Amino acid sequence: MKFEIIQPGSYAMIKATLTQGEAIKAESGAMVAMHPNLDVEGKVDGGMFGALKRAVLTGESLFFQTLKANRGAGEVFIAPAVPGDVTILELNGANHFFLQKQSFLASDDAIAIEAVSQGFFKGLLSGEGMFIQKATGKGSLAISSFGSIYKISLAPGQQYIVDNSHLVAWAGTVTYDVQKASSGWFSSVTSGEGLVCKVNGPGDVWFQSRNPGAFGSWIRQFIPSKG
Amino acid sequence: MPAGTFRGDVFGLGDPGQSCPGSLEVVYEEFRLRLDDGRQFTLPTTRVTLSRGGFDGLHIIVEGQAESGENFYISLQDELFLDHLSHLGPAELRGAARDLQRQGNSTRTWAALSLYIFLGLLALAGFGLWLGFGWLVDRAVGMVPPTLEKRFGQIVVEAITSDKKKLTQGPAYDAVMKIWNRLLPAVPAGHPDTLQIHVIDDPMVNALAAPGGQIIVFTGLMKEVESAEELAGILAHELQHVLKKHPLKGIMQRAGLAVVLGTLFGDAGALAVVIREYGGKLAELSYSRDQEREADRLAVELLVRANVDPTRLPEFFRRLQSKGGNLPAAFTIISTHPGHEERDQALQAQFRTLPAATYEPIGVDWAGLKAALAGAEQAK
Repeated sequence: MKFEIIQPGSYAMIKATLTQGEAIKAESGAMVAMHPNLDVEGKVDGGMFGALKRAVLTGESLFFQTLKANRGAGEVFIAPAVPGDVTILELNGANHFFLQKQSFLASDDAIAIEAVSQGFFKGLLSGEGMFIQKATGKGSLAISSFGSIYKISLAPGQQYIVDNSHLVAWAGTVTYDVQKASSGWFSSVTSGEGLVCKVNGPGDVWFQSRNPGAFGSWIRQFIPSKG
Repeated sequence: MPAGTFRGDVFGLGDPGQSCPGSLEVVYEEFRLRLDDGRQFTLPTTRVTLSRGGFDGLHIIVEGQAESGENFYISLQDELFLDHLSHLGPAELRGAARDLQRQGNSTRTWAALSLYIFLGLLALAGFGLWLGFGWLVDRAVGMVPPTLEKRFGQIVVEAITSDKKKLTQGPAYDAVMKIWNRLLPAVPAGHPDTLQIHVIDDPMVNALAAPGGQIIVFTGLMKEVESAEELAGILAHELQHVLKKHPLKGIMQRAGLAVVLGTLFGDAGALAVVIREYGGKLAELSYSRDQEREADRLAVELLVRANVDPTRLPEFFRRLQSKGGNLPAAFTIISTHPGHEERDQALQAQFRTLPAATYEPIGVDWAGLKAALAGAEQAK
């Protein structure tokens, strides 16, 4: 199976090329077009308990869609629901990644996606939610962002500051703490940043250029009130 | 993979942050690191430290310097590595390995515990909300000004009756007004709503209460009751729904938490939208059994005060019950007034507490009225 990014940028799409018998899983509703050799079906991934846990805790769909090349080789195009870029992560069996709850787009069928808690305070303050997704296994994983996506690579002990709600994915070896943007609360709030995530290496961290919550607040001002 | 060899993610070569998968083999006084790309390194155990790390705090981190000078940061997730070290590893690392095993157990226990605590609190909050929702609805209803509630009532009445004929004269109208004028003086003083009844020429067998003191009665119901006292019982029951603001509470309960909280904090805009959109569905609204029991109990008290025989109140429903499920769709009163048998028993118990009395008949020739309604129906 090979993932290829088509038209990288705001309206990026993934082209997955499959040989006969290969399968990938994708976010529910993400398929755009596919070769007739492929079949698409909804799948409760990770068993009913795992799927329920993922759906209830991260707000994602109970189902993934499985796209399988049953009648020969073929390709499928997959795109996220929101405008934004896409990037490919490689899992080698020894590493794993954490994804904020809406980042998963598609992966090799063998990669396991499960909901995990990131702790009460981190969940409350990081902007990434109480529960995130953990990807383990071996193969390719496509993630999507809101806006463009950028990777930073941190050496052991190296730190970086990322505004909350901008984290997309990070290696399992990366840790982060939520802290004030400035030394004082007043300047943290007046700077417009409030809380930020201080990530610690080693490992890669992907962040997105736009904050979905901030975009939602911006667009709400243009929606006329029905009352 | 040979025994004593463990997979890991290796940092320290090439770009910072770039890792390479590899295997770490524990030989008595050294670690042999074999990367998947074929490179090999030896790390003397005297130059190695062990710790926990990673996002979940459960990675086993081996940091050390190779004989060839490179510094490595190796992340492993196989707990057997610690087990192996604590039993077969070099003496200087056995204690550290056991400490990390204990630390890992504690981290796992705490993570599971905090998840269960979180889910428990979530369930508790949900249960509390479920228990307290009725209380919140009561408070929110209290926040709606009478003028606004009256306007909501007008919207609901308009939505239900706009395509139907509203009677303002004739035998059906006169009969309802005679009953209404008997009941009104018995309504306790002090309620903020102006009570109003609308008689609608429609085959629907129902009477219903709307917000803001509005009551609607359909001629279809008048054809099915057997006396003015029966209809007086039903109207007294609907009057109690109005006085207890059950219609507004019912709408709010179905509108959901956001509307209730909005109203509670002084913004009835969302409630107005709900009423505008769904006001016409009020004819399908059924109240809770508690609300029905309360309306029955207070209706009997009202009827007694109005000197109208209260024992006729349950007769209409009892008669419908005896017909079983063989009722036409127009009998919506059945679906909107649940729990007849239980309510009947409660009413009988209440009747036994009433002193013996002779009630003044309302004085409507009901058989004549039904004949007039049937005649008008045939003339259409």
